[in-house]
Order: sequence, then C-alpha cells, then structure tokens
Amino acid sequence: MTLLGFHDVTKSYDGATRPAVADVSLTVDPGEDVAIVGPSGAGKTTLLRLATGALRPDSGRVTIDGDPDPDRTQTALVYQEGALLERRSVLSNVVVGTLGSQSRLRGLLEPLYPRDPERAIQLLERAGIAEYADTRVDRLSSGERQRVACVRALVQESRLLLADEPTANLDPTTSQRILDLLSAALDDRSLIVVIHDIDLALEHFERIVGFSGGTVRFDKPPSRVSAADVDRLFDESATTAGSTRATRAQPRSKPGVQSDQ
Amino acid sequence: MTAPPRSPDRSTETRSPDRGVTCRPDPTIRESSEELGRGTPSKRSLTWLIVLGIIVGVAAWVAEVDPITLVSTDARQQMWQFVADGVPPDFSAEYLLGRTVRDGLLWAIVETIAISIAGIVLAVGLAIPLAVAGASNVTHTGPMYTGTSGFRRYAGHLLQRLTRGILSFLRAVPDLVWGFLFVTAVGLGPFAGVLALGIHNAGVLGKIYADFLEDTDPAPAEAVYATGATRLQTVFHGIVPQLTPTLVSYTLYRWECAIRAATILGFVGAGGIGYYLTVTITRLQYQKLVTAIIAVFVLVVAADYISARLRRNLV
Repeated sequence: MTLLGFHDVTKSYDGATRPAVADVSLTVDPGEDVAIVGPSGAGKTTLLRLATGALRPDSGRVTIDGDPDPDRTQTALVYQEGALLERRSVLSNVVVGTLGSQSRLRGLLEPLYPRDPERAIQLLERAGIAEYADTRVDRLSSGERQRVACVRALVQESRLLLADEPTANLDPTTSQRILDLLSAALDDRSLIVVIHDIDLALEHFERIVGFSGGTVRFDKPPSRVSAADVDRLFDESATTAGSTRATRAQPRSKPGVQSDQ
Repeated sequence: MTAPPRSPDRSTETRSPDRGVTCRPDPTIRESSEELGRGTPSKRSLTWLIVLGIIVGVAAWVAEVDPITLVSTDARQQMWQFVADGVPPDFSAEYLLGRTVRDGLLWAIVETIAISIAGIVLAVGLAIPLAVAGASNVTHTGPMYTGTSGFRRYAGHLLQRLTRGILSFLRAVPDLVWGFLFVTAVGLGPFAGVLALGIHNAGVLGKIYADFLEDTDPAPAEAVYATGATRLQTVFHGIVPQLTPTLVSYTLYRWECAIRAATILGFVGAGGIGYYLTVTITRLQYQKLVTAIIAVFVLVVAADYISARLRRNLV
C-alpha cells in the first residue's frame, strides 16, 4: 500500500518561465526512507510543500494513503531554516507539533501551558537539547535550532515525515546526529529528506531520488547510483535553467538522461 | 572560476580591461533623463521649495495667522494679567483635597489616571478581535488558505474589508466627541470617559495590530498550520508571538496618548481633571487654573517616563 503518491503532478509559480515541478509521478511506501538530491532551484522544496498540502498542484494528484485531500496531521515537515517562533522557548515551539491532536480550545493554551510535556521532553533528550527546554529559540546555535525543528516534527507522530535540508550549514557530526534522530522514528512511517550533501544521502538512505529541472532524473538504491548519474544531475540543471553565461557561451549537445522509473 | 591576477600578456585577460572599466557615464541614461525634463537636482529642490512655500502661505491665510496681534501691546497686557492673576497657584488643602476628598483636585488626578488605564484595557479588549478579523493573512490570504474554496476566501475578504471600515470609523470620530456621546448615554462622570477612550483607541489599536499581523513572516505560520493546528491556534501561536513586544510597546505608547486625552475629557463632563480646567477658566479662578495646569504637566511627564521605562524592559 502506497503511503505518499504523486500522480502526474505539475506546479508553476506565478511569473515563472517553467514549472517548478513538471509532471512528476512518484510513490513512497510505508517504512521507506528516501533522499531527494539535486541542485538548488530544482523544485525539491516545492515537492515537499505539495506533499504537506501547503501548495496545491496545478494538475495531477497528491495522495496520502490514497486520499487526495488528507488531514494535515498526516504529514510533518521540518522546514528549511526551521520556521520556528523566535521569542518562544524550545518546549513551547516543540509542543506546537501536538496541536493537531488537541481539542480546539485546549490547543489555544497548549504552547504556553503544555498539558503533558513528557513526550516532548523525551524527544528533546534524544536530540540532546533537553537542557534548553526553557531557553528562547533565538538564543540557540543553528545546529540546535535545526534539532528543535526536527523534534517539533517528530512530536507530531505523523505517518509521513518530511525534512527540507535539515543538515544545511551544519558540521558532519551534527548532520549525522540529525539524520539519526529523524530515521529513528521509522517503523511503518516513511521519511523523505531533501538533502544537498550527496555523500550523506548515499550513506544514510535506502533510496535516492535525483531531482532537477522539476522532474525525476533517477530513482534507485544508493549502491546503483553512479558518479555519472550525479554529474548529469547537476549538469542537466545548468542547461535546463538556460540562464547562465557558461551554458550559453559553450552550448553542447547533451545525451538524453534516462529515468529509471 | 576565480579571476587570476592581472597579467596583460595572458590571452584570457585581454578582454578584462575593456569589460572591467565600465565607469564611463552611459550616454543613453543622460539622454533619457533630459528627455523627461527632470532637470538637475538643485532645480528640482527649488521647485519643491516654491510649492512648499505656496502651501504654507495658503494655510497661514486660511488659518488667519497674524503674528502682529500676538506681540501687540494689548495681547501682551492680557497675557501678563493672566500670569499675574495665576500667581501664586492655589495649593490650599481645601482645593487639593476638597471637603470629601472625592471633590478635590488630587482625586481628579487619580480619576484621570484611572480613566486612561481602564480606557486602554477596554480598547485592547475590543482591538484584538477586530485586528484578527481585519488582517488579510488571517481572513483570506497566505499559508492558511491554500486549497480553500473561492467562496470561502471571498467571504473572508468581505469580513476583512468590513472590519477595516469599522476600525476607520471608530478612530475617525475624535475621543472628545465619543465622550460627549457617552455622557448623554450613561450620564456625567468618568465611566463616559472610559467608554470614549476605549472606543476611539479600539479603532487606533485595531488598525495598527492588524497592520502588524499582516506584516509577519508567513513561514512560522505555515509551519504551525501544517501540524494540523486550527486557524485560530495558528494566529495565536504562529503569528502573534512574532510581534508580542511590538504590540505591547505600541499599546503603552497609546496609553501615554490616552492619559493626555483623559485630561480634557472633563470638558464634556466625562470625568477627570479636565473638569477643573474648564470650571476654573469660566469662573476666572486663575490661581486654581494654574495649579490644575501644573498637575496636568506633572501627569503627562510622569506617564511618558513610566511608559518609556516599561518599554525599555521589553524585547
């Protein structure tokens, strides 16, 4: 049974010359962990926001468990840069993740007066930041902030966990720690991580999706991803974007890239 | 590719000089600016100076500004007479404390402070729901409304425009006029003043709060909404926390304004020290009037100081 399904999904932004996501079909099964790799501007973030429902496709369908209009609690997203509430404490940022499972009125008080912070504290401990539970988020380092964002998503206990560049600008040890934290939650749940660092992706994930120019370029296990795949992935983006001087100055024919799907 | 150090003998560098030196004025730019007839900067500022002069001149004529009258012998004599009559100010216990305390000047000062505080509290209470209903990112735009039906968004837009209209009306009517209105409704006394300040400042604070809400970063709001939070929860935990200090700071500033406004609400019988100002003027009791003016001065300076101290402790 498919957990997340993209069916011929296209999405364009106003004023853009080409769609950010073009006719993408992709399925993720329960328990899978997937890394999406690709150059900047490839449409990876758009893909994640389509999965959470924060964006709606222009055409095609995005389904969770076959449902084209799923509950928002089904997906949890670790935002790039965290999207945290700067002046609030770590704990009140984290318990925001439980709002979907609260009653409407109780939820209004929850971030200020958490009813049952135990689970949140446990996860903060696992992330190694429990000592900062009462510290304001804007006093933390970027690695600590990134972990707060991860814990907020983990507390949600959603079936599909998404993360947008959770390791950007972090040192290797912290990156490792964050990926361990995210994948520890796996069981029948799925994890999709957009990641810049290809080596980290190959090392940590059982399925690698190469994404550039709004489409899937390859989709295979890490053992079968070749250096040529990666080279082509980043090369391809230069020609698709078609705006860099380097590409215009020296046009050369590209061999057609085969998608493995 | 990083540029190697300048070496004219290398072939790749030969184009560098004529590409790098682009400081020459672009002839097309000068041409187009002349075509538009904008003129030089000094010419432009001269034009503005003349326009400003005309505006000030017309304003002074309409407002019957006549400095000569102010310094005329007659005017000087009148003012001097006022000062002479007002000195020494009346600091008698009878005036300050009255016969029953509640009819003394000191009580009126306390009453003025009370009106301003109660008025602002009422204003905040009214402004919060109005601001929420008047902010477009709460009613119909932004991350909480992707995939929402067109009708729902249209209804939200309508609500937002309507609320903004109400806010404009509340703030367009001056607090003194509200005071007059409420005196006829609830009778003479400070309660009318509280209502007047509350309603007028609800309009002022509601508009500012709504503008602040619209000006927040949508990312945290999207993140909170995406967890499955309701829209109201998203407003209070995704949007409002971004600007709490700003809201508190601005509210304190409005309290300062409210205490100034409360000093004249007594003109229309809405309580506070204003009653003493108007009564002593009409009865020509200048010694008592000067005392009341000194009291107002102290009150306003103290309010400014307290509010500034509180605001400094924020953030």
